Amino acid sequence: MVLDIDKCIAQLYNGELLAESQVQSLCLQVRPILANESNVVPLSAPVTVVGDVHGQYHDVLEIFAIGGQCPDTNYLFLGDYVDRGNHSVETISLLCCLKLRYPQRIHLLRGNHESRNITKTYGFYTECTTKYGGSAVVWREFTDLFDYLALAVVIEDSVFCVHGGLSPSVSHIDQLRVLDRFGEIPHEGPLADILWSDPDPDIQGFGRSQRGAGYTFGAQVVDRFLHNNGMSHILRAHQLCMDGFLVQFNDRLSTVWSAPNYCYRCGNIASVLQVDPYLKRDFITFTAAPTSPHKPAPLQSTDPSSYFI
Amino acid sequence: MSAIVEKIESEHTGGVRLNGWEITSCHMPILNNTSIEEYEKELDFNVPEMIFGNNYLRIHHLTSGHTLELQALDALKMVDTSPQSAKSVQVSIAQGWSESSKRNRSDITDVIKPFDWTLSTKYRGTSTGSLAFEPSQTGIDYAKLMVREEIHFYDENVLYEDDLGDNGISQLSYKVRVMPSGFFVLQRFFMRVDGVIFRIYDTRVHHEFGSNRIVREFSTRECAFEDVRRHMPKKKHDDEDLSLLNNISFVDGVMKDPKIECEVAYV
Repeated sequence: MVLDIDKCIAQLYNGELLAESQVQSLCLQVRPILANESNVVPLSAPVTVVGDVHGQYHDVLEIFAIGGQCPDTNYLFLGDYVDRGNHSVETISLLCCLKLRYPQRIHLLRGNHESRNITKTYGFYTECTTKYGGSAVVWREFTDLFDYLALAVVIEDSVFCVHGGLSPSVSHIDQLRVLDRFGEIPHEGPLADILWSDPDPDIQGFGRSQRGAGYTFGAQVVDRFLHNNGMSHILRAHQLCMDGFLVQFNDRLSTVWSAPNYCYRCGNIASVLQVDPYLKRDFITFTAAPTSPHKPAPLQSTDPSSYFI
Repeated sequence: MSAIVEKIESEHTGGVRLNGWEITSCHMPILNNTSIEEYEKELDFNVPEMIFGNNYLRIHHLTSGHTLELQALDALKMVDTSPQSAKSVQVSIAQGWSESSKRNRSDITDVIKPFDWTLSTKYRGTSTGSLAFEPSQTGIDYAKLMVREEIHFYDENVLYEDDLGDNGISQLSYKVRVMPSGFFVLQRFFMRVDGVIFRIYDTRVHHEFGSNRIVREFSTRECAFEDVRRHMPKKKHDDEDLSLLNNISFVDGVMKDPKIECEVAYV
């Protein structure tokens, strides 16, 4: 079908879902745009970097309100568009529409939630089937599209951006460039690592996670990676920050978190990071949009559920 | 026995005062970075991602000064930090990881400070004053609790929650109800590691106004992931949706055979 992309964007801004056929057409057209991007996409500044949004659609609209509408502002999203929040469908639909409409003005990286298995447990699958009359087509379209998302970005050859962090298998960015990324996130290996790993200020090198899978990485790894690749800073997301962001390792690594009042009850602030043409970094913090759902009102004492045992 | 019920209400705290007891429940946002650093120094492991360190349930007996409190820090102090604590539960893909990582890499360090990363805790509450619980043969009188009566105060609240690095959930929360006949509390520790295990530890506390006893029951249940999953209702053409496993009520209904310890304290 011929997709009227401006109409789709207006529909979504109006709080209206795309039809299943529109989603199919959208994904079909976005796929080659994503596929043509390399694993590591070079970007120029200025650009505004956004961390996890997890289906908090009203807060995504708030990001565009405070950071500037796309395409007036260049945006880089670091992944985790779906799951946990109540509006993953609207969120990923809008971001894909904007990518189709303004492919050079918005860039979308893959997060660890852009994956089939995890979305079956953490909300996206349920939301899709609920909103589309029991059909899983929309879920399948988007999760197939996720296989094409780029893995990392480098801003002005200097700032390395990725969803999770570093990998013991990747000391040079060229090692990321040669990976075949077009498929489901594997359980292990460099592609899994960069979407799942976390910094740990208490160690120097890489550490094995207590959980039996996954890595953490320390100061020496960060310094060595930046030095080997001639870069100045690492930007990542993946971990909740009460204050919206966290800067570590002597200002060599930042975490940006963009879902305010996470899960509608944490009460945390969120942020986006503005990188200016001189690579100066500014965190703009914000609270939940007034239109964002709040924690449900506590049960009244007359509610039968309050007679718990 | 006084029938006067005073409601307590402030910005973050709600509760009730009656029959010589004050029961308050406090809701605050998660801790800020400074407080997190203080907690982590004391615990020597990373706090849960959502740490509601300033939330509490406080049950205070006015004349004796005895208090029973539910709060996150004391619960986290009971998380296992022994040498084998990290390995007692591992994620579903751990087997494959350990085999491939054996081939590798002397520059990757093993776990330095082990702790039970599932944040499992057998915390039953913090007693102050000289409120002391001792083992008892008799448990809670559920028949009395099933009588429908007015509820002066009801609340539910989370003390901490963590998604175990997107591998499941670990949550400590409580519910409280205060009736003309007494009060009843359920504190629940709920844990799931995807593909591996479910665990529920419940602490129930009941006091009847006019009696001098507080009865506490601590129950533990543990179950393999598949044993819960196979109880999921079969939807036609759709066995892909696992989100029901996030529903604590559903899982609670499926997991049977708790081990229960009964205790009593006197005011």
